[in-house]
Amino acid sequence: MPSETSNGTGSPSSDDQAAATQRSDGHLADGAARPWAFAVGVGVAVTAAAAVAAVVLPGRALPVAASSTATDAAHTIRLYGLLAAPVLGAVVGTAAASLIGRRTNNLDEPPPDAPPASGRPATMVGFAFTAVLVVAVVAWGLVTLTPSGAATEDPLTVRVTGHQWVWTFAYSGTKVVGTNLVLPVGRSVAFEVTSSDVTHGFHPVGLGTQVEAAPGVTTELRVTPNKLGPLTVQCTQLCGLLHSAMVTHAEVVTPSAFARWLVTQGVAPTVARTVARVGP
Amino acid sequence: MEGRATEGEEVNLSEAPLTGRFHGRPSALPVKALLATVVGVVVVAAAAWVLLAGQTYQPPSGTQVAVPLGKATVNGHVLPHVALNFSTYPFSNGTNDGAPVHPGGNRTWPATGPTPNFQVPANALVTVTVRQYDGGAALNDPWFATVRGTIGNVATIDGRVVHAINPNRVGHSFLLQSLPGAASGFFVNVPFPAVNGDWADSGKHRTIVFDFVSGPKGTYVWNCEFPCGQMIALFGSAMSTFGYMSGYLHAV
Amino acid sequence: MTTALKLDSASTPTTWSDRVRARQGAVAGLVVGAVAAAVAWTGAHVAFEVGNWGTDRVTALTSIAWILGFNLGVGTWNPPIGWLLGWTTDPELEATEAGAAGGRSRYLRFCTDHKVVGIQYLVLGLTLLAVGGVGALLIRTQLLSPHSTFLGPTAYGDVVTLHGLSMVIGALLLLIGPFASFVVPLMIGARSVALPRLNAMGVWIMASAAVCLIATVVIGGADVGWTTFAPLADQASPAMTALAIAMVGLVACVILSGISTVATVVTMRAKGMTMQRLPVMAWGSLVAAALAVATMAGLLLVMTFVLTDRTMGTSFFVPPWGSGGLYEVMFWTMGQPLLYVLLIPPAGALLEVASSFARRPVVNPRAIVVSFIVIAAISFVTLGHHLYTAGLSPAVAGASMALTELFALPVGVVVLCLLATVWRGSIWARLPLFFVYLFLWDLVIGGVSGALLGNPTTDRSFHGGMVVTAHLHFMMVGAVLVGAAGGLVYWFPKFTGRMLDERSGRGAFWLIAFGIQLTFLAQFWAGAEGMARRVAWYEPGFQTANQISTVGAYLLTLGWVVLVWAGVWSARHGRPAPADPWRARTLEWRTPTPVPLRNFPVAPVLSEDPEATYSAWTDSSTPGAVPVGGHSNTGAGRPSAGETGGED
Repeated sequence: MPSETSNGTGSPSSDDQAAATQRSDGHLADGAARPWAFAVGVGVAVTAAAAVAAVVLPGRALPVAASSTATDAAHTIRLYGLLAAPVLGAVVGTAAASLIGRRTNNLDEPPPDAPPASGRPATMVGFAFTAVLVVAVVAWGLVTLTPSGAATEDPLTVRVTGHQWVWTFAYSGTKVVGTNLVLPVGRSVAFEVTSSDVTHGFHPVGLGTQVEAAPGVTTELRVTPNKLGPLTVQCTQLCGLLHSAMVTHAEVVTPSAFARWLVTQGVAPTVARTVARVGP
Repeated sequence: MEGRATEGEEVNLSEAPLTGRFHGRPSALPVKALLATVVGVVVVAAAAWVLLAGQTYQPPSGTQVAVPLGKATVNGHVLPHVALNFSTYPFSNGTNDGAPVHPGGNRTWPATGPTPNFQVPANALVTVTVRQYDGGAALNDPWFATVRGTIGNVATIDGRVVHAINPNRVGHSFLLQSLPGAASGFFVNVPFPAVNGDWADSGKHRTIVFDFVSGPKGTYVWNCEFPCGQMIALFGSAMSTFGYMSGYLHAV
Repeated sequence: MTTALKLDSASTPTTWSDRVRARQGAVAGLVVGAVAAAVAWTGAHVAFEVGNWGTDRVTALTSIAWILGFNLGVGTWNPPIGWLLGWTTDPELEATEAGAAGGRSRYLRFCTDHKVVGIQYLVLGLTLLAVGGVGALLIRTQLLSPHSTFLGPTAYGDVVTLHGLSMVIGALLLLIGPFASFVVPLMIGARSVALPRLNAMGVWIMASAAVCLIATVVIGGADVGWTTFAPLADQASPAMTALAIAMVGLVACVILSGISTVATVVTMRAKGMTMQRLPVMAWGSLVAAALAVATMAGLLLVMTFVLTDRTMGTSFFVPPWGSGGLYEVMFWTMGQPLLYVLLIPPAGALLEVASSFARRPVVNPRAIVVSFIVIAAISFVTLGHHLYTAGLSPAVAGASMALTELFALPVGVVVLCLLATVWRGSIWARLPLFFVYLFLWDLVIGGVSGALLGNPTTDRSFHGGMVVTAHLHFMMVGAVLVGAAGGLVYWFPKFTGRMLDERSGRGAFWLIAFGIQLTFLAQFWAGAEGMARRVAWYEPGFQTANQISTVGAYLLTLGWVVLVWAGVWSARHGRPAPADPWRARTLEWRTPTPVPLRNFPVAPVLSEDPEATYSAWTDSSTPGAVPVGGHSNTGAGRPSAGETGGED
């Protein structure tokens, strides 16, 4: 950068709008450039890219949604991503455009002062824009506050106990207690969650919801698995030494397969069919 | 203007009067800095030593490689057969059957010896023999008093084949599980009964033998489910420090 | 003069207290602290049996004795003790304590010069950040492969805790010290801080507390995370007791320095520096300090209760009488505002940076100040968003969500004003300005992910997962540390009297900028896939994201190392800086560098020019103003700061 020091930005030009035109040295861009057009162009491009990412990426990264709660969450993620895209576009567009206007890389001398700006119109417009987004975000949040797929009258109750560092699952109506979580598809499950020692976090990944497992307290979590297949149950609250190993596999199966599984666990076939709500 | 400046001057420091006499002392600095560094290192080392004395939480290192016993047939599959032996002690430097377990370890903590880390072949039948020297009490959850995941869901305790033991008289236990994403559903739980009567510093012990089929290649972790530590749920100290009542099992 | 004072004073300058005080300093602190700790440790071992509660009592007494002893040796307790005992002190000694002696040794002493205190905080903060950085590298190395045995679960958990706490505290100390203690008083034209002794006490208490914090990893480790949630904290090793006492020390430090900052900004402003014209940076520090003072009690309470649970057998956080939920609520009454205590001052600093390098006053400062205050106010009532999975009723969850999403408005206004300041500005592309743009980008990513986590439906998918980790690191590293770094680079010439090497600074900047994106965007990916946070092992499917994150973390660390190295090198060998290298608008640049003991050769007075806005200073051509900085005409004949006589 041989010409840095020869940059004449320190010249006392009174009309700074017109002053900065020394593009020959490549350091001082023209103040008469069209920052608005540039900002809008960059902003629209960034918005579009972010919007595409917001729609596409969750589907590629999120675990398969195995309940309507998880589907709701995925929708919310996409919606918030779409609402955030213009924010990112506006900030990046404005910031990038600020750099193509009057600018000097001269290390020794600052450029002449810019005219003071009130910024009020821009702030007002931006504030109104943000307020609209906040209203949308809050409204959607309130709409989805109670999970859709309301709890049925007849849930399967599973008592979940967090131990350091194992989950155990007890199925009501039977004496089955095990470290495997097996759930019938299409039926609401009421997890009654507690802990025998410190606080854990009961998170059946893929069901899109979780609840704390706190000692001395029973928290309830209701969700309806709607997709057959494996799930992961993990602890989401640091619970000591082997917190990282407190991960269990779960399986969503058909009601008749659930009844057969109960039988393998020592439940009488008639009881198993009653608990699983399948006919004889 | 003059008046204002004077007013400004009166916005006063709260220190005592400032004199100009202290400007000429920086030459003392290097000596002081050097001294500070040396003394600082010594003092910090001394303080660390004081804090550490008697509190050395160093788990034993080393891995016990399973002894090959030949082949065995499990559910129609011919598998390599190996043996593991370990003991559970009431004190980490206890000498119930000879060697101290954790030289320099936290002596009041229970421990597993000779090492808490094991190596077995993948997909092999593993016969584990445990000598349990510790007393005991009730589990936090009686569920852990049942044997799970071994061949036949049973263990042999002092020659008797059992599926469950008294949950109020448990000494220690061996709960083996896979790490996230590996060997779905791999789980072994074997409770060890307590030594009755006078157990401390005596050679009295219970012998527990069980067989399980190791999972696919990878790292597994085991821990004790008997609350033999301190603080909340008695799961602090030895229970929360890897290497006393917990360890790795490597399937290779 | 000195003789006269001797005659006047009630005691001779060779009283025992003066002889002791002449020897106080960091060295004496280490010696007295170590002796006190050793005595306490021995005595406690006699009194208590090692075991369930005993080891905690030994640890507690040893830690407390260390902190009290260290500060006794340093001289931290001199102000209250001297006041209580009615010490009259040799003025020479007082002057030395005030920093008049000069020389680098004052940085190793209890020194009431707010600029010395600022640099002491800077060194302490960078030390803690370095400790946290080593922790980050260990964590990321462990996570290179899914089932790594590199650290093992005990060391991993201990390192996670130490990393989180030393990073948060280190960042906080950068804002308390270099910003609030060094720069803000200069910026408002004060010739000292309002409560210099209070201000100086905080840094030494924190230094001794930091030793307790770092010691946790060698005395057993606390596998609890930076939030140290009980009842896990009640179960952890006795190191948790040392950690809780370190946190009590932190509370003392933050409250003492916060009171000093508030008092200084409220009472010590230069003539003409009305609150209306206070620079946004000073406003930011004022709001953050007030918020910190108002909320730190939450941390004090939970840590005290953890201590009594651990040492006296109370059960504040243990069922059936107590509950972990109580801890969570009490902790977040402090924890949530703390995040904004950390965020507001860097935002203020970067607004000043933007003003200097876009060559115009900060745009719409009133809106910014109102936003700072609104952010602080909302932060009191949004702790609910940490508890969505703790069993909140839908009504409380809904209200918490609405309040949380409201943050977008004031934060948005600050971003808009920052953008408006650089928009069509006359951009001088120097290093500090780079950080403004990085801050904007990171703040948008962090803010948008925060809006997502503020929603109960999505939070129940992501709570306790790496998405939260990624979000908080975009805020804490991408916004807070980047903002703090921008400010430190900007005021570097004022701190050191030399210019920061621009070329290596820029290299560091790009490493930091790309390192942040790699490290934490990859963590969003891992989190979306379902990886929990604070785990040493994870499903093999998450490995790619973790490897990218680890590579990013190495680059990021390299960036910080290069930046610190550039700073250390430039402080010794850099080009000497003029008093005002940036041709900036605020008062701290209107005094010589190095800054004289009493900050300004003559007390600055701001012009009453109605055209002047917040960050206005005057020059001698403005009627009705006294020039500031340089050699004043009006002050001619008057002694300047270092030479002012005692009788003045």
